[in-house]
Amino acid sequence: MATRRDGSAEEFPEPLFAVHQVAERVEALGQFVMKTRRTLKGHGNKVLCMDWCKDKRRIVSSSQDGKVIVWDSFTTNKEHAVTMPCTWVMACAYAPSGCAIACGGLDNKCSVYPLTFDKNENMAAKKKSVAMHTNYLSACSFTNSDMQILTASGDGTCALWDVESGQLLQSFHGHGADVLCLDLAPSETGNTFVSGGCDKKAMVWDMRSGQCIQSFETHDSDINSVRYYPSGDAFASGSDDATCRLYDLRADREVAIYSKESIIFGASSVDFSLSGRLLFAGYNDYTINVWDVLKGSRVSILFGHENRVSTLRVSPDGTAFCSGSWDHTLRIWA
Amino acid sequence: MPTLLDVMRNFVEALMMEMQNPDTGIKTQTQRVLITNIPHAVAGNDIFQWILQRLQITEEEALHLGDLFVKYGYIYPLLDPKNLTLKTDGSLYRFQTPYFWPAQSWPADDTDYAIYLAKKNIKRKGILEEYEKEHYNMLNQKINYKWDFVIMQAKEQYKAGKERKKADRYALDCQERAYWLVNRTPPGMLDVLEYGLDRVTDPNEKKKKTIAVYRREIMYYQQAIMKTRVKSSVSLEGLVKYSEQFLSNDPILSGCLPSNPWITDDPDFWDLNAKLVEVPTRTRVERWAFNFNELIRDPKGRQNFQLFLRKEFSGENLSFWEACEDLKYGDQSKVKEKAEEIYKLFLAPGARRWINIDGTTMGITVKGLQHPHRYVLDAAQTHIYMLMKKDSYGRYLKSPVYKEMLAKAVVPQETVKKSSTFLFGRRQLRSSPSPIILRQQEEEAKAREAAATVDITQVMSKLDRRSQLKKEPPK
Repeated sequence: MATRRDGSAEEFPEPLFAVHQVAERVEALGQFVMKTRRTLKGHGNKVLCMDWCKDKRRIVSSSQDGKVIVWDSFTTNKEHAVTMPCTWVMACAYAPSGCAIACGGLDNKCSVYPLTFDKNENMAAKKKSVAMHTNYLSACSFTNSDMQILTASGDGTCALWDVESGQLLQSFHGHGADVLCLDLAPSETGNTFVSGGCDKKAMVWDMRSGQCIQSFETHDSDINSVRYYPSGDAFASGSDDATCRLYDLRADREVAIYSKESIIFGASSVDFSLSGRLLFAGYNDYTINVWDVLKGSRVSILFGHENRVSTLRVSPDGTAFCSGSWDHTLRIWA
Repeated sequence: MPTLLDVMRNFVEALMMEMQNPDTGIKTQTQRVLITNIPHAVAGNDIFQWILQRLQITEEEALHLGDLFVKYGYIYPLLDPKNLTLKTDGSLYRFQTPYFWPAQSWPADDTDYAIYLAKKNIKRKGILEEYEKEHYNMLNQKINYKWDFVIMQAKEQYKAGKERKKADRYALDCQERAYWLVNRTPPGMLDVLEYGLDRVTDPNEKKKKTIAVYRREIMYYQQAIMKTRVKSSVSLEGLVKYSEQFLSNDPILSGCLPSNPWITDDPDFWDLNAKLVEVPTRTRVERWAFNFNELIRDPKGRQNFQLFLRKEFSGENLSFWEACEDLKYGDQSKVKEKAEEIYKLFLAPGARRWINIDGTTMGITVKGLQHPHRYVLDAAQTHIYMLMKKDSYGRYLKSPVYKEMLAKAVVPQETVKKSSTFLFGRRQLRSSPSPIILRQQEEEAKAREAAATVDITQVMSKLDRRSQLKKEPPK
């Protein structure tokens, strides 16, 4: 046994577990069938991002040509559309109230558009410019209300903004390169979020102080997507190194790698099913792989898109997930 | 942002070499084209079978992977060059020469493309396709200063080509054509080499660190050392337990009642689980018992919990918690105003809805309220949250309020999807009211409720004031 400087004894470190070792006793999943239930056609260019409305059926999507569309994906009807003054709208988000959307991209800004049915009102007229970065906007998300937005940017920072005034409430510095993604913690005490970047790091931040509280660097390339496990005690990441990984926040380390020899293209987007048992990951080889989070194995592979899958989100009630692709379409799978 | 990492490219390139191994690789044959014999051709089906065996993957995956190899130009089709797909029949393919393999660090050069097009033009005038003619004219302008060099190179290559054996010449032409189909995609074809935007910062570039960066790092490591970590066996057990607990609620894994709307086209599931539905479903009410967070995050759960708390005369706790959430996530400009209102209503001595927090927390809170910010009530909010979670929650789950709700809860009948006997496609899908309209309705309802409810204490204080005025002699 070794002795620490303060005189306390240091035990030998306990063996490092991976999640599948702890999950040996868990029952394997049965046969798994998921199909495309809706195909949303309407974008004239690569779909880059999408988000669900809390009503579990409406979605907002954005594309390379600047178009942002709000759909009732159940009926496939388009309800609103706006054309941004920039291309590569890489970020879009639905407000918790369902009455506004936020989006941004190469304009380096995040703008909020209140949704309206008034035909005489041009949606672009009521647009509010909220966030200002010094490079492209890669991700945005509302917090628990319509009043605050969290953004991530190619300028290497994340920031929290007050929507009404456009005031910067907190900025988050620490990434050594472009930040590509973020996700807010669902935990009961809230106030943290995770971000991933081109510096191969995933960083967890305290929203109050702006400090980085945890950092993970095990990927071999850009981290394109991060998503919390539903309990908030872990998060998954998808990277250009063709792997997805699971990081346990309480143990403070990586606890699973989801990869296969035959998967050689980057994972662009990940999300968990409602129970956290499944991880859906969209890849640059046009496929979606479904992973058993606990066992570490792949449950299914879904074909259908004809170009890169660029964005993927599970619906708020977990009944389906939506994927967006460079093939100009979005698909709902269930 | 890179298309294919070096590591992955090495893997693909190694596979390509394996495929061409005379012993363990794919069987080759000689293809006859007109009067020429082209060696080293392989059948699409053989490529497919080889990948299947070598990587031990499903047929769908093997086909998809093989198809990608063709799209990226590692393998090219002989007879239908523009159709970059893998056909699992006798269609013949050839392996691309390593010189022409895709390489991120060595993008296809404009000058080389110009030479290729010029050469094609020399071979037979008018052979260039429309898009190639456009490229050719554009390049003529763009690198006009090199044009003599381009034409000279094209002529040299053409002459050298003529001196080769017919089979070799044909093979080289195929290789070149395949390379340029991938690197200068014709309109309408998928451009596989497109990778999106460039990174702003090169993560491999060594940046000089500023003092601010070092300061942040020092702070980070200091707090990281102090951080308590949980044994991975313990925390992983937590993840597993959570997953197991929620498995029955996961619609994708366990289905949902009456049915998954996306599968049966029936949105009843959503109607039965509306935000403040009159009678919630049993699954939903059972979920409130999983943990306190599940109860408090569901508006219907909160409503029921508030009913229980009122019976225990601690309804102000939940109201206080809700007010704190509103402060934290609300408009920045209203922070001061809201904080003051919350203080007056919940924290001030003799406040109408006074909440019971310990002296220390009260002290911190009151002090903080001198300079209010959105997190000023965090300590008090956490204290009340824990009080509800550790104390009231347990009693709530055993209470008649919860038990009644559980008994009353609806268990929908399962609807099975009818087989598609609809001759005219999917039946008319029900649209739902837009959240915009719903919010309007909610606000109107709130306004009506506020107008109807008379605040008794305000009336009392008004009456008091009036009687006081009466007592004072008029001046």
